[in-house]
Amino acid sequence: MIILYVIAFGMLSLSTYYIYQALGAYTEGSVDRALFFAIIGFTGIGVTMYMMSTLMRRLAKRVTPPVMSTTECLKCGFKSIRRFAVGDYVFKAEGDCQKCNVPMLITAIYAEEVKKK
Amino acid sequence: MSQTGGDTINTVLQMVYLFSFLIFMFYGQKFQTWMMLREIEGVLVRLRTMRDEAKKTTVDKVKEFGDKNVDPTPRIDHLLEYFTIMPTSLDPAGIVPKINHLIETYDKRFKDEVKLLAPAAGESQQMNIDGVISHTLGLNTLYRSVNHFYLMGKKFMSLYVIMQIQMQLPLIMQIAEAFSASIRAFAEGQPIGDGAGALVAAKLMYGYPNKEVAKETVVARIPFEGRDLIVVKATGPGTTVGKPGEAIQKLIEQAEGRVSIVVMIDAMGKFEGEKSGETSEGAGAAIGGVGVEQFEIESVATKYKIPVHGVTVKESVEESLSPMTKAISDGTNIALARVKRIILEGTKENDIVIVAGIGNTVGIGQ
Repeated sequence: MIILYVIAFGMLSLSTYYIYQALGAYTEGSVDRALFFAIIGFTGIGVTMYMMSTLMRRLAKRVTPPVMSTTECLKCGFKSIRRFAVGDYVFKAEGDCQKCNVPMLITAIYAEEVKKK
Repeated sequence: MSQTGGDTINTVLQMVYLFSFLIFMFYGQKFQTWMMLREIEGVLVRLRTMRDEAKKTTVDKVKEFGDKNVDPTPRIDHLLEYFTIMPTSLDPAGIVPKINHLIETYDKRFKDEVKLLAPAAGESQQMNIDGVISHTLGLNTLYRSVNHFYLMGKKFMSLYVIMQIQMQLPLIMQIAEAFSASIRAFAEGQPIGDGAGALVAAKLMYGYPNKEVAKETVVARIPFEGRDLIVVKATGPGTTVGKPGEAIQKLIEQAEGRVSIVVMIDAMGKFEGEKSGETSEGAGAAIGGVGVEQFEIESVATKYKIPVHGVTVKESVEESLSPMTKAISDGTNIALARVKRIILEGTKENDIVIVAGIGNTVGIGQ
């Protein structure tokens, strides 16, 4: 990992140096040399950016989506959603309805979708 | 002075550029091989981490219900290298009962081991531990296979040997991550995407008495618009797929073939770009696995000329082994509506219809 950072830093430094050289050559009036150095410089920066973005993506931690249990009253339709607890399963009787005191049932267990930034 | 210095640096850099060009020309393939090996090494590290985490989950789960003074790790390590040898296909006639016998041997051995490791666990919990160990075995096998190709490639430094595994790395990682997610789901008893079929059957049979018709498989008879529905699913909420093939065969033979149609509901792999949870319909036995269950269903259906319809819920490979998503959970309602439509349109009153919910029933009761 450290080696990759060192290589990236080296490439960035070299690319910056070439762009500086390109600016120098342009001010001297040597457009061909300036173009040559600019191409090398910008290519180097592009490759470094790509390398860094690949590295960042690999280091990004996978988010485990939370699992939710939906409890429903089959009489009045009252629903309650809470986090999954070990022991939950679909069609397990779970507590009484707050509205009509009838036993509620777990009708769905699912993982919530993690919204991508 | 500075201009001379700048020219010197430029000359040096141009020489470096020229030399690197020559090096890549003669050693380019070796460099490419080295890059691929580095990529495989990175994946191997991730696979090893996943495998070790899965092993830890397995050991922790077993310790919950086993002897606290005994370390189950050595026994679990042996189980993680358990293998099956498929029957020879030199004489393919009669191979299905041989494969069935092999699978039963494998299942029994695993169940006996789990009973020894976790004697205090209930039936559902033992099934869950069985599932955790099976998928940890899968992860371990994946790691060992990739490691084998990596070391072989490193030994021979052959680009073509290494390329074979490097090209498949994204698919391998997809499967490994799916296994990893399923181990967490099995350990906690959460429904997975593969349970879509079982969930549809559970929604049909809830509230009606059920009984065991085959190993880890239950059946319930429910009236529906004048038809007699026989609903089959694996016995939940433990981790099992049951024996739906054996169950359907038994039920059709018991009815002496007087079954109008068989409707099977299962999860199906979706194409890239398709939405998870969408349903589709087709003809044939919608069931996965090695093929034994499918063979049994097709044999009995063909014998009595019973149409077999399949209703599937689309999902990706990763979703099928991960905790069930809301899209798939909602999709089972649409699948249920499609099943009812097939029955209403394809049968008449007093007909017998078999509805089989196929899939792993972890976290799904009945």
